[in-house]
Amino acid sequence: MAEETMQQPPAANPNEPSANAKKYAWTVPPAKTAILSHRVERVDGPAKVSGAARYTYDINRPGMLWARAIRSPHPHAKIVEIDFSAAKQAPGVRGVLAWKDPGAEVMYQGDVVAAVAADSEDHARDAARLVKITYETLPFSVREASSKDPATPKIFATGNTRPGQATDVGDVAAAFKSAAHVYEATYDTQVITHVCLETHGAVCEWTGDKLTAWVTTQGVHGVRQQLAAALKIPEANVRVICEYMGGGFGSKIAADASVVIPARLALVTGAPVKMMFDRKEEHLDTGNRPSAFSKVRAGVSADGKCVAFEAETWGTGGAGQGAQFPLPYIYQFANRKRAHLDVYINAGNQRPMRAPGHPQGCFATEVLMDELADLVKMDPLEFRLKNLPPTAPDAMWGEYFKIGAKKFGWDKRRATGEGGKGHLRTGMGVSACQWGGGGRAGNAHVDILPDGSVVVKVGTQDIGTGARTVVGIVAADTLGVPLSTVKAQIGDTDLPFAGASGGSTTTAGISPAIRIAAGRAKEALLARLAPSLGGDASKLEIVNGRVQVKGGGKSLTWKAACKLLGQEPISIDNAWEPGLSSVNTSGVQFAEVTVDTETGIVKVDRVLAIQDCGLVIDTLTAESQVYGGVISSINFALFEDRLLDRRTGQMVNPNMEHYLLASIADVPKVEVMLMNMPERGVIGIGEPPTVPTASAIANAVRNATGATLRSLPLHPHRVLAALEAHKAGRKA
Amino acid sequence: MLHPDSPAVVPGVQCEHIRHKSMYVMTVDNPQALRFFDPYDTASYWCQETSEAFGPDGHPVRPDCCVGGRGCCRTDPDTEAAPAHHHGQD
Repeated sequence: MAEETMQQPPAANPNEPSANAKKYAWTVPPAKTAILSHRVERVDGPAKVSGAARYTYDINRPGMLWARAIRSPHPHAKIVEIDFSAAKQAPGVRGVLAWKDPGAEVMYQGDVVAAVAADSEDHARDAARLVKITYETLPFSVREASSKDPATPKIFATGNTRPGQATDVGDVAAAFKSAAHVYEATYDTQVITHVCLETHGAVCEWTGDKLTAWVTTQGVHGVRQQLAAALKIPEANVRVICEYMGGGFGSKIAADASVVIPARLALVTGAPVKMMFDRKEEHLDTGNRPSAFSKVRAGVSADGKCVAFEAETWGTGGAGQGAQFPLPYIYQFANRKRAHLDVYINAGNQRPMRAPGHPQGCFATEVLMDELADLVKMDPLEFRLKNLPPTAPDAMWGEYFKIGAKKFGWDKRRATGEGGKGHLRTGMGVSACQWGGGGRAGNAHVDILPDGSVVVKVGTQDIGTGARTVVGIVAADTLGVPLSTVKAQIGDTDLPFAGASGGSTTTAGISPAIRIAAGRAKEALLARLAPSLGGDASKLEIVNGRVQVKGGGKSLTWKAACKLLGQEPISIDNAWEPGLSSVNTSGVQFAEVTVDTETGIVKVDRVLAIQDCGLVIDTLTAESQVYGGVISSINFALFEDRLLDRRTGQMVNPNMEHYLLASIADVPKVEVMLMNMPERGVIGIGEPPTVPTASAIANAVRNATGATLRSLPLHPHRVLAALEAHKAGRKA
Repeated sequence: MLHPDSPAVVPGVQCEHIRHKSMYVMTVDNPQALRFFDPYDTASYWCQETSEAFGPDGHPVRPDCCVGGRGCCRTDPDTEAAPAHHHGQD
């Protein structure tokens, strides 16, 4: 499926390299490396597929209790009374907890009010139903339009809306006057939820005044700090463990109720407590991607140069959180103006979701770009090339568009609306993405033990992307030993500090520290071995697990060499240093779709993703990130939609039956071209590939049918309505 | 880089209990990112006292309102935080 990694010209790295970064600079892969940048299978793959890997959900402690939250059924209400008396008498109940007190308000369906702990999951559920909470219901709004309406009563103390950051660059009025064409349209994307396969939750156990918490989290160290603060205990008394986790996508950085409630109930009951949310709770109360509305006016010159942009944007991040996004996205409008409004509704609050803001801004901009291209009668790709920022190592879209066009067969793309005869129409679309990445928070400890074992300890966590494998590859490649020699220890606050895994920062945050620590450990080892191998450490090397004199002479197997360490292992610590990692990535994606004009069903036939991420540590897991990002964006484009009933304020699809996701049959052929840029150092790849697919799909539908889809998701009824509007010669 | 999630939360100005992703996901600042779009703030905020996106007073957590004058706001690092008013247990 994937192409060979492709070499790019040397690129600038904005980080001034440290002395260590210069000394232990990456070997330019893949030709000169044993495993770095190669296709390496996950070291924990067998554990995952065999079930040996233990996720938080799998943790069960002796004498453990189960906790269950009691949540508001109302979108907005005041708590009048909480009566635990019946619940306390229920079978197996060991403890109860008021998360909110009478007098407090609940701001959305699913807002946590209380919790119970019992000796089984069933008993906890039964007891939760017996907690009697009296509410005084209050006015609510679950629609952006309703909250924006000045006639709607003030639901939030600080107002139902709040202006966001505004932009005013250049002379917009004059630019519109000079434009040959002026175009207006409104674009919108929906709220979607994270749908982590492993739901939020934790198992908490106290030993005296010390707490051990197994948490499904994107940041063990951050959760330790937050748990200690919430419980008002020293951080040193908290240990957080996350050996494996089943997806977070940005929603598992905070220590929320799913962590603090079991910790408190464990303290009250004197027993370990496990609390794992169910699917409905996940949809209601563990975050989402905000909605985004963009009412846009754009001006283009006769020769296809974007000259003016004006937008009024709004969206909801829930009950008090923001909903901004970058707009316009990537393409250059020298004169631009934008006003934004955050709109509050009575629904669960947003949390970071894979490339926060970018998919929304990308969708509005990229669909607009196709419409503008048609307006000036240019090929959409040519139009994009004309309006991109100048090409640079961190701005490679122009090059990638050209490479992709050739690879994808863009020359076979037909004009807009000429996607064939009959009810099945095919079309192509294209889109671009940008992301920063580039972490700086990683510390590594490397041990070379006398029996030949190598242990690398990093307090990062694997959010499913292959961090354990990355740790092993960097250490093994640096030391010159097989990957199987290295044992990576991660996911525990007893290990050296690393930042949370988010924003495509993990690999760039930890790899430099591992590279330098392993390089220093290698030097220390060779110095210790030198007397046995000729007396000069600088003349020794380690190749394929063998310690030898350069150019021939004495040599030892790795095990035999390490045995010479006696009882004193090599033990080295190092922090992240600048120079081995960088920031800013670029990518483009092409999509081809078939649209059934009778049913409105869109089928994605193939996607080509061209993506850079600096130095590729493991081609296989980097490609996996792209596959995952593309599939996630197909979900955003075609399926996912959080539906709220405007009359009751209830989510009507808080499950995985009516909240739709792609099935295997919906996943197209995905080709990945990783553009390896080793000279830039490590950057990261988690976010960018999930940004452009949805807009490329929408543009492909437009190319196939002539109907422009300006709203996601592209559910059949919406496609049919757009086709009908197109046929009637009006905007959908 | 300029992290797209980076909000302006200044120690001593905003409440010490306000939290957001960029406090835990550490990145390298790079203003060059602004070549590709204008500044914007997507951050979600929460309160480490309540472990929610609402403060102890029940109102939303945001940098513009988690400042002095709000009853539950704590800006003096020497001041011991008062126990959260909710989270009562029985």
